[in-house]
Amino acid sequence: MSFFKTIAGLRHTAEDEISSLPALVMHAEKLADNVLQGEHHQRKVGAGERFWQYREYHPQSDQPQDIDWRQSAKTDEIYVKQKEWQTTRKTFIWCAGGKSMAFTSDKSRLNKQAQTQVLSLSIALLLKRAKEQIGLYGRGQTGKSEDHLQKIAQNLFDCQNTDEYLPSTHDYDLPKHAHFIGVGDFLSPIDETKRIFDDLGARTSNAIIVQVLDPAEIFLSYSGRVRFQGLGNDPDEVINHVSSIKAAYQSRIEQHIQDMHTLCQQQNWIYILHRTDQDIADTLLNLWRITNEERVA
Amino acid sequence: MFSFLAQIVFTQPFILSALLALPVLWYILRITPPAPKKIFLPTTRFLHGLVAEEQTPSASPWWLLLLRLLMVALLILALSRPIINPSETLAGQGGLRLVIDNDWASAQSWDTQISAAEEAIAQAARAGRDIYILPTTPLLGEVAPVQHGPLAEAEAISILRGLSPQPWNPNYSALYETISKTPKGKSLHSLWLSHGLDLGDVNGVVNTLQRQGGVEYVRPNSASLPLLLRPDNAVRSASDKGSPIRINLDAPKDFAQNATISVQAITQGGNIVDIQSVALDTNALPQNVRFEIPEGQGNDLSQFKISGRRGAGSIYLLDDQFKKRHVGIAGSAQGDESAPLIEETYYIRRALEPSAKITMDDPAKLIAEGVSVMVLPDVAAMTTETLNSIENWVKGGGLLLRFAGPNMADLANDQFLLPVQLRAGGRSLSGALTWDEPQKIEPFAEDSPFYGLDIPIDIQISQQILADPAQDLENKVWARLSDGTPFITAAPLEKGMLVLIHTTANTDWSDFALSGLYVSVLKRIVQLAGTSGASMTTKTFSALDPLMIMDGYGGLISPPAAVNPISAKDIERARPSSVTPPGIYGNAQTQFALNIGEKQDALVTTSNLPLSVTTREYKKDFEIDLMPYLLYAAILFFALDWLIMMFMLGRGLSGFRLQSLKGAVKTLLIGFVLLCIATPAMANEANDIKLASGTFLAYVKTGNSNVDSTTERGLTRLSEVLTQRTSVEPEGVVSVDPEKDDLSFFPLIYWAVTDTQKQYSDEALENIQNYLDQGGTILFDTRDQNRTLSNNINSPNAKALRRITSSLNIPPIAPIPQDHVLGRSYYLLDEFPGRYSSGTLWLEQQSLGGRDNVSSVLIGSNDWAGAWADSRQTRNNGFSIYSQSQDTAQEEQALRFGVNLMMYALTGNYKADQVHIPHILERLGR
Repeated sequence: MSFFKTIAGLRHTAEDEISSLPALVMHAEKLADNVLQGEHHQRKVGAGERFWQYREYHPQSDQPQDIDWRQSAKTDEIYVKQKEWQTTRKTFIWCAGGKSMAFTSDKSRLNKQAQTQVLSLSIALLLKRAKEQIGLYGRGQTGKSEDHLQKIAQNLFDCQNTDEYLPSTHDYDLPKHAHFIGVGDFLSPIDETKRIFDDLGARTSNAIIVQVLDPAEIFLSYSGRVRFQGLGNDPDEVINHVSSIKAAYQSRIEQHIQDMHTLCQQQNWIYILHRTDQDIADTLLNLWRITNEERVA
Repeated sequence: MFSFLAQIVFTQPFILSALLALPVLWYILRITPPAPKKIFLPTTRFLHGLVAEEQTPSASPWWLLLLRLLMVALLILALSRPIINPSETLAGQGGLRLVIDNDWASAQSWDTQISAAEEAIAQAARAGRDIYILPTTPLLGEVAPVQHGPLAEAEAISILRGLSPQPWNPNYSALYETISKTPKGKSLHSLWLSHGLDLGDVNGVVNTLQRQGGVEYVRPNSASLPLLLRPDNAVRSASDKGSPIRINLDAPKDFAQNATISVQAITQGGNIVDIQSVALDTNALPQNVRFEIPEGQGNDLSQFKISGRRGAGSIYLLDDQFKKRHVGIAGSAQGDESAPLIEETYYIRRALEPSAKITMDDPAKLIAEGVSVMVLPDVAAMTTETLNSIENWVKGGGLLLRFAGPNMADLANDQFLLPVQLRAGGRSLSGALTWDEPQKIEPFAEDSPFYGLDIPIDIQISQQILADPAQDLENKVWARLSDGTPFITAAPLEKGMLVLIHTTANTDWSDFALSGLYVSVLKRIVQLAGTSGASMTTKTFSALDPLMIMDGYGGLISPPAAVNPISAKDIERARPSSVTPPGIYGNAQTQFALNIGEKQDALVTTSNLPLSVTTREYKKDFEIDLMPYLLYAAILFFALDWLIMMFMLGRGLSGFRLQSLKGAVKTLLIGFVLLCIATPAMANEANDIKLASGTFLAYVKTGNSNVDSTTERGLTRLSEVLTQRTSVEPEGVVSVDPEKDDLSFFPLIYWAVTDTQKQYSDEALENIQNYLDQGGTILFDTRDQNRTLSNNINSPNAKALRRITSSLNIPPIAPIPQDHVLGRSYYLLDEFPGRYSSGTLWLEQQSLGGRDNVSSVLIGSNDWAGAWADSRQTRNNGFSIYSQSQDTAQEEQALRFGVNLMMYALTGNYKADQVHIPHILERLGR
């Protein structure tokens, strides 16, 4: 996936470009192009666009305007043309924002925010191509037009200015059975996260949670005497000898990841961990595969 | 301690405001070491409660903080340039009266006093205040000191320059009167620039001064207080053999304890025969200094001098009385042990012991030993041979002192070696068979050598030998009894002298031998020894004329007319004063030294001044710039801090190295900067390097700008000629001042001697002496050939030259020999003309070893530099307004001499060896 590296290099030299919306979209599109396309055939009559079958007209149940007169003219029977039932799920994507997302331990790497955005937009693109209804959680209705996608991209881009570290269940409601893809670092206390997930879980059981973490956050790759500055209200932590507490820290963060995993399992959700030093394309493929399985299932 | 601190002044006080930043610094320093990296980490929350296993101190320990704060505080303090005892600002209002101690004790602190006075005058002038100058001591010939004023600055300075220390005591009562004459209601602030001693009633004067305004009393520091040499009058036990020469060294109690003081014993010719150093114990004053004078040189002593000190008090002049005559007492060498206390010789010995060297032996042996006085107690008949030898000895200049006694009365017919004819038999003045009362001694007549001695009233002469009345008897009598009969008679015998005391040397005939007069009389008689017998009888004992007097710095000068003779009667009681300054008084027969230390009261420093009087010390002596010390301390702290840091951070070898390297670089950098600040003047060294890197022609700055510029031009011309004609290429011409400059860079120094030649300090003379000793050469040029062609030796310049060289140790010099290397070192020269051609060039007779036969001094009078300068003139202008010779050939000769001289100074005897070349070549040819 050399293209991504090219982009990363681009970003490295010209920071502004990658953080602009067109760059984001282009990035996402390129990612999406590499994912195998497919439609969700339901293999049964329904409100689809593809032909499914002709069957005899039953005046009791069929509407007269459904009669396919051309076919009926060929025979004595009156047929109605039925199309395959193609479901259109509504998929809501949520993307975290805020200071913690803007973190990267390696300047040559896209930060968590940018990776989240790229991932979100890519999956939105893929879904759109699959003619799915997509929308951003908390930002209006779903749609599947090109225009709508542009709006989503714009909103995704804007979410870096918000401080949404968890999807709010307070102000918005997830439509019942809508699909939910949440991308973020989910570093909030597990209790808080659990409350939100419970709320969301009450609306849908189809959700994918992508936790994006920087390797430094997982491995605490620092040494010496360090004053760690946290988010908002978190007090600074001065550690005199960082390497000596690495193990303790790692067990804590692994516990947190495990908790997140457990939380998702409880809701019957899918949990994906994305480390920013991993290839986004891999994660996207993984995500898309799961999405497809879900769709087919 | 408090007063010490009060003397600190910050010259850059605003820098002290930086001390306010210390709390900020405290805060900054508290965070280290080392300041943690700041890292934003979203997962910081998960770190909460995690404690690092290896705990290093998160903050510097308090003592390290303190050290650093102290370091910075020191730095700030140093930059504010604190100075201990800085210039005082002038206190008080109204006129300024400078009371200046200018008595004998002020010589040591005189320069300090004057510079303090100059500063005060400048300050007063700036403030527009009237200036009055009041010396405490009358000038020579005057009685009361005069107050000058009101004065403007220039007048005041010129009067100040006119003042000098006077070698006698101040006149405080006259001073008091002078002050009282100041108009009432006029407020004068008095600044007393003192020498620190209270030589009378300083308090009284201060009180009076205070009534007329404020008083500030300035005194020198304890090491600059005056010292005084006093005679050693202590009576010593007879067992103290050898009677070494002693002097007492007195100082005020406040003098620096254990200061090392050297006292020199100097002979008539100015040679120092002994130097004794004592550590002054201020608890045991006066301190006795004992000299080890080589036998035979004791009588040549002319003065004692405290080395390195100035003033009349630091010199003790010696007169004839000090000379120890060799006195022989005729008798057995062992003495009669049977009854020592009634033995005549015992009395004589005890009387003369403090002032003479005494030998007891047979007369013949005494003569052989070369005694100058022989005392013959009443002895039994002597052999004719002995008598003849004694007579010959007297005729050759000896002084024979005889005592009457029973033996002499018996031998009355044998009138040999007696000043007067004696009547036979003794005259008994008391006893059962006489009606005469015991006689007293008549007061000494003015023409008597004993004039001035007090006669105790209780002396009674009970028995004597009478002189035969004769015509010339009157002239021979030195002392009489109250009935007019001669008591002491004397008569010359060719070059010698015969003295007879008409009673016994012991108590048999009188109690004269028990009195102090006996000692004084014997002492005076002994002192007469060596003087011509013929002049003895003339009436010349009455007045002692000043022969040499001392100036305020202790130098001996010929007395001005204002100095009065002292009558012999008063000489014992005389005290140095403005009419009778200390010095040598006397006449052909006798000399008497009047010393300030003779009858001086105990030295006490001024104390118990009223509280309202500000007392301080002169600042110049010890104005201390504290900046370098503070900076050094800061550097020390810095190094210490760095060491501690290294120790504390020293974890892991690589980290240790990195830290220490950084620290070292930092320390070095900062240390270097600090050092640069601390040592402002390194320019001198650069100059030295310049001078050492090439040959420079040097001349001694005379201060006379004419002479200096001529010399400069002359040497410049010479260096041109040297460059043109020889391989000597001087880099330039330098003027040197022996007071300041290091002379050692120059192979030759040209010294144009002027009559205004200033007296150099001991350091400068030492500098010159060092230069000469280390192989340097000085050409002294008196430049006065035309003025004193015949008798050059007494020209003013020659005197100036003597003044310089008298203090230098220069080997004997002689006129330049015929074929001296100086005439062959480059050019072949027969004479060495400058502007003048006939002056003789003198140089060392025999150069010391290790000098390559180069004379350390060359002395001439031909004004060579003038001729060199002239030649330049001729060349540049076509004519010379300077040249007196108008002879360019002579100038060429002068230049050639210059070239030869330089070659001589640079190559030494190398050229002398060249003389042998013809012989060597001749030998090789064979």
